[in-house]
Amino acid sequence: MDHHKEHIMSSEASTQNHQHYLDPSTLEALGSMQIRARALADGIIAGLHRSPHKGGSVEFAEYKEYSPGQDIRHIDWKVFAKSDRLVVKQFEDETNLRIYLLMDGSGSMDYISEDAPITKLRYSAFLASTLAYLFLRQGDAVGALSFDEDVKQYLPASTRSSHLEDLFFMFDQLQSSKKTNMNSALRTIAERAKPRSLLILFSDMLDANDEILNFISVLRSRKFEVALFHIMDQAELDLPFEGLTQFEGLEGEDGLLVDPDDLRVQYQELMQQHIRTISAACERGDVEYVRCTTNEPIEETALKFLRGRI
Amino acid sequence: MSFLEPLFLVGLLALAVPPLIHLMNRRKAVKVPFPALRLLHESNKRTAQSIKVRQWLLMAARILGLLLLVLAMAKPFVLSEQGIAADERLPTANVIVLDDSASMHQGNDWKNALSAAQDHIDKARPWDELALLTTSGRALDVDRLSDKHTAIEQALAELQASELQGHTLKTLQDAASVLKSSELPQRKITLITDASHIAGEINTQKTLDPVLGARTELLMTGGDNPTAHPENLAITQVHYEQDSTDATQWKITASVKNTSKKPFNNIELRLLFGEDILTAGRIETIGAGEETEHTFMHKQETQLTTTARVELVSQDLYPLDDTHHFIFRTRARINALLVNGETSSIADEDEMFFLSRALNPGRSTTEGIIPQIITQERLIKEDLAKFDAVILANVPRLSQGTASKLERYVKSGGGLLFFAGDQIDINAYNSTLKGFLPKPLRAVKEFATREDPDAPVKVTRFGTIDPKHPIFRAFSLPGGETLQSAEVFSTMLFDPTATPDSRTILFFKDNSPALLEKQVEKGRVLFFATSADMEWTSLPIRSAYVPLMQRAVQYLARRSSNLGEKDSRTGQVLQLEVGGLAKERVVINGPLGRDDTRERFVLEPQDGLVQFRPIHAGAYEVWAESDQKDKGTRLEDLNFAVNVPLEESQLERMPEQELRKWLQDQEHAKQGDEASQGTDRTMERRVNIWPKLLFFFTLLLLAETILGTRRTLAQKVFGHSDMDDNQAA
Repeated sequence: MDHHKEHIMSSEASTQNHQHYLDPSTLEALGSMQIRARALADGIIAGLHRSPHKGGSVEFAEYKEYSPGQDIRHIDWKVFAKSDRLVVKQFEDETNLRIYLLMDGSGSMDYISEDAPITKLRYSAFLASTLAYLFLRQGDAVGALSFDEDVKQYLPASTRSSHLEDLFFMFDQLQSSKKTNMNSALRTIAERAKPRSLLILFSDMLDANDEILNFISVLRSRKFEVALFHIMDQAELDLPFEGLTQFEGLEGEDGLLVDPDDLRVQYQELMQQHIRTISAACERGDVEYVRCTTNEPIEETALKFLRGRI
Repeated sequence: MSFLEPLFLVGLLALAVPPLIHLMNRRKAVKVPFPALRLLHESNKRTAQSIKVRQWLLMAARILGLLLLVLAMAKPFVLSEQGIAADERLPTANVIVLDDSASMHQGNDWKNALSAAQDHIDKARPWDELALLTTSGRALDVDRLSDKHTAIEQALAELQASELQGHTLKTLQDAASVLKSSELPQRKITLITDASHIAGEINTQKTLDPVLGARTELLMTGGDNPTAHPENLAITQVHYEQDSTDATQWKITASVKNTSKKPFNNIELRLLFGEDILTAGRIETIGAGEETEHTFMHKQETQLTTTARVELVSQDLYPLDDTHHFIFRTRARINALLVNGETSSIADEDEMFFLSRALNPGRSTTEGIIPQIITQERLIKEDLAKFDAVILANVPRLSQGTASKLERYVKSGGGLLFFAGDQIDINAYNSTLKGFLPKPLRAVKEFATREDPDAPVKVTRFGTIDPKHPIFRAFSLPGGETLQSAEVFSTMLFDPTATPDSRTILFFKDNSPALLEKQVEKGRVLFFATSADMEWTSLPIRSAYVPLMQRAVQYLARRSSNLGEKDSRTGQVLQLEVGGLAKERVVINGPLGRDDTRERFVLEPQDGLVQFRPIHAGAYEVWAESDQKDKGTRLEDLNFAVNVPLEESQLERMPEQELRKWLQDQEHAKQGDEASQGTDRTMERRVNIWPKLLFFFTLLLLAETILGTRRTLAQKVFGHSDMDDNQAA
């Protein structure tokens, strides 16, 4: 199955759906991660209802009409979302999907620009929480791993509903530090996760080098399914700063005193080239690639990913 | 280099401002955390060089721009002859004196003059007042100062070089007079000339008085390498006469002058009657400054009056004097019949001795007045029609037949002149000639005899003349006063009763008539109240006698003041005596054969005289017109030719420096050595540098704007932004 899909929502479509979604800047005010995730999930589900993407199949044999009293964990919510019919999946093989959410905690993920609602790290956290909520609700096992220059925390995949609390707690407490070592995190998860697991990486990929990109491709060859949420701040794309500026790194790099106007064009070219490199690597490695910015609604970002899987 | 406002140089301290601002800006740089610093460093590495260059250029442009601005405000200047004096910056009244004399036809001088004048007008500022005068004296509508420069340009476009003599000095003084009427602070006279023959004018009139009172400017028209001594041949005059041995042969002699500094060889000339070439000739060589004659021989068997010219076959630098126009007429002579009333073997006692010599001093038999003397007995047999005038001197009496013959002669247009004498029979005259005597004779009055020692106080003398009468117009010239100095011992007295068609044109001191005239149908009769010889008057030995007698006979023959025999030049005011030939209107057309420069004078005779000023060289014809006749009468005998002034053939140019110096000397009266030696700062010729500095400052400002414009601003102004691309992606 070709899972590489590049999801870059057009601004027009984004605008059309924004009115239904939560403003990311308001998520912090909602209280616990559980509430936030649920709210986001509602929006996603509603979005899925409106999605033109129908059909598709997962690993099941047939559908059966739901009867009251049956375990609702088997309800195929996607079908419900599409058709308003409550059906229960009958699996050929009763193996659940294992999903691991990999959270990049490098210093650069803690960046928020003037016009952005939240940091990339918080955006990742909200997004991961929401997906975890949705996956667990449909009976998939969800695990998580956070890393910076080391693996900070690891939660194995589980389908227990109480596991969701652990995940929310982990995501809520995510902190960034200066350096990152994505290579080490990926190796760790490759060792711990079972084959045919879905590895979803949340990162700004600023430290991604050829080695990392190759390894992501290698994961695919090890029967892992890989998806990448490439999370960026709009300012990283535009370099909107004016006047003589002393730029300072978030991971201990040397600063730079420069007039952004002098090198904006060159920077933007390099950034686009960087994005293309990542995208091309994902395409080669059959990695699902979703790029987004922190001022896009989280629901939209999630829908980009989920629609492709329906 | 100097500065008009040196205090502004303090602004040079401002040159430190751009570097200071740059340093201050560095300190005020905003600190911004940014995640993608690796990419920023990479971008910076790639663009650092060009950024550095641009920033250095920007700094240099700002510092240099400030420097130029400060210097410009200090108003630097250098002293140079090419510069403009302070006075010249003020509004100026400028009279352009344009040499349009005949010599401007040489080479490209006229074209250069027009071009120089046009350039000069183009450089004038809108508030300057201009006027244009020509050295030929031709009236133009733009001879008064005006700020309407287009009128002068228009006048210039229509102007051609004249065929007249130039009077540069007089025109300069006219220009000074025009300038006096201006209220502008500066006054200037611009002279555009080829500087030919002006040295002659200056030699004659060393300085101008009064001085010009204005600055002068000289523009020469000779081009980059004017020839100081142009080569030129001029035909100065042409005269003709009948051969003494063969009346059909005519000698036409042309004088050719070499006005240049080198000899001319193999000069070819030709003679034309009308447009027909009759004959050609050659002059082997004419030395520098020399004049040579060449004679053409022409056979003319019939009576003829025609326009003619002698011309050089090869025209030189100045073509106007290569042709000389004249009128060829075989009837140039006046035949006069002199009837001698008292012959004598003693020459000076003969009645006609003085008169015959006065009429034909050169004893010519071919031209001028040709007198034929007879006794009164032969008068009855003579065919009077052959004669233009008949003169009777002291003839005692005439038979009725002779009187009638004379009367018929006069009535048909002939001229008759009587001289008084002691032989005259008064009663016989009154009886036989009463039809055409101006007044009846009364008596002879003797004032004194010649031998009387008291004669000087007793005699009478000639008194007032009618100055407008054709006979006496010449007597307004020097020498005319000798008429009044002649002694008159005896006179004929006339009946004082007024007689129709008679008038007195010369009086004695006692107011008795001395010369009377009567019109008798087509002819005229004159009666001189004293003798033709020395018996009654000493006039024959006075210098006035010859011109008086000649003019009287010419008047009777209606040939007086014939311009055909005179050497007339363009620009001269010419007088033409038409006498009784044209009473209402005289029309003069010419030059014949030239369509480009036709002139037509329509004139009313005043006392038998018309006056005009031809400005083109060539042959002119004269017509008499009246309201009674539809067609005019051609007066062929009055046709004449005009040639260009000989002064214009002197093409040698006055050296420019010399002329310039002379003009400067005429600008102002000398006011003492101190004034002439002192340095007048207003006359310093300055070349201002600050306009150029401001120009470069403007360029630097533009460069600074281009270099310093932020890309984001440029993109906002001109649309398309890279950010839009990113968002679209």
